[in-house]
Amino acid sequence: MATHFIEPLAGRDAGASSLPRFLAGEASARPLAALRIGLAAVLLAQAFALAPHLFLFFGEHGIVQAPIANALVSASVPRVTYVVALLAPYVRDERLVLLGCFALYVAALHLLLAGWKTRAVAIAAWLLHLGLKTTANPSAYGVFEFATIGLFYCAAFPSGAAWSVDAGSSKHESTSFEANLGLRVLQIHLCIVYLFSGIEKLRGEQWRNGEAIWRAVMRPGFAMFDLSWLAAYPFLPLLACWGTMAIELGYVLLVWPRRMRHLWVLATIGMHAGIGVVLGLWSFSAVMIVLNAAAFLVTPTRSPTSRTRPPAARG
Amino acid sequence: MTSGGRKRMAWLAAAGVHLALVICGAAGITPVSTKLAGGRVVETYRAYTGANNGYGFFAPGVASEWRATFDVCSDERHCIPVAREQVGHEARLLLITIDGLLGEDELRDLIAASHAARQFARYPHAEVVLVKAGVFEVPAMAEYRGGERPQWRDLYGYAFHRAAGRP
Repeated sequence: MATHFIEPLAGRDAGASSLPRFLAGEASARPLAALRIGLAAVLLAQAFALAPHLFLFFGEHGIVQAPIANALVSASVPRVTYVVALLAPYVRDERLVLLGCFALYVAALHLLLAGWKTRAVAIAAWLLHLGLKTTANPSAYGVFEFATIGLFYCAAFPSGAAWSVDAGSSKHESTSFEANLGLRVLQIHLCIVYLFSGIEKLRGEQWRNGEAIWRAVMRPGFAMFDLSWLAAYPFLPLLACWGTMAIELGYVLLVWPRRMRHLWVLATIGMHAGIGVVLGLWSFSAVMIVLNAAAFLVTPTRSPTSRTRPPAARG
Repeated sequence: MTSGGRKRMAWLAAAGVHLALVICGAAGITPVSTKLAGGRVVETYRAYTGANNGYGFFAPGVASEWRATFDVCSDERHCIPVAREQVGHEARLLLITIDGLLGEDELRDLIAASHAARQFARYPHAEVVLVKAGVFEVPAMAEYRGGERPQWRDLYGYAFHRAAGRP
């Protein structure tokens, strides 16, 4: 029986058992699979875009040299320089080690996309991504942080239990407690993201008077189009600022009722698409769109009475 | 409670703790002092999972864009400006992120020195590299309508000399 996930909270089942069912029910892994596939695809595109400049950002003698980059991050977090040190007796050229790590990362992303040995490759992709991000941490911006979060969820939860080589062509779509919990954690995490982002913006005078959008589109590094004409129509940036804050602050409440969910998630996706087009932050926007779509647009199959799952479909 | 029930409770507890750490990260709170061993374990977990992130995208205000520009000199009187490496769009975002660190007082000198080292490597005959850290100043919309225009302004300058005997 396929039902919409919000029912336990807002529908006919509302009552004493709602919260336990919300958290402890069972669901298929479709949303997690969407996260896995979307995230892997975006990160592959990003990896190919950065590959020609690998040594510039990730190399020991890149723009920010390793001793400086390493000093900015806790020593407990993995990085390529650790692998270089480990392999020093065998490989003298650190660039070969970096190339090897990057090749492994790209290979792991391909396998994650396909969902082959999903749990193992998700862990590999997560740790390799973390290592590369830490190595180039002075250049790591928002997309790297959300990729870390997404890959961790792919590794922690059964993201390979649907739409994957692991799940195969089984006609019986499995449901599991872990898949439901993974979806809930992702959903709540996104609510935290937008709530805090909205509150931070509301605190800023630039967001309240419309100057934030103006300043963002005028930054030469981000400007994809000449939008200086906006100065003649200040109500447009003002509207965009308050619209952004409304979407972010409203997310935590309005993404749950079934009637508002699609509208709100589509508005949020539209906001990120706008950021991608206008500011050129395409990879960041794409990751955020994947997270939103996986969390709220991909409806999981639910089987409240089912307590079993075929072994082949476990991720 | 069955073993399956205990397992589920453990999963729920772990998810609850994880989301509590996500909230701490979003609020800029360090939940356990890093002076304690447990605190260091928690910080490591937060770094690995991304639970230490803040989410103030362009908030509370949009920061000014910074850039580094370079002159390489064969001696003190012969300097030429040099262009940065040509990179694609995504890589340019990474460069902008690095240059954004020039806006942080405690990191500016380090980033400038790192830039200089990179230029010495690109231009082996350079004896001096001048690094200028500039900021792009955007006037408010009302000022723009009044005729002011955005412009780059160099705020900090550094002269790095090649160490004697170093390639």
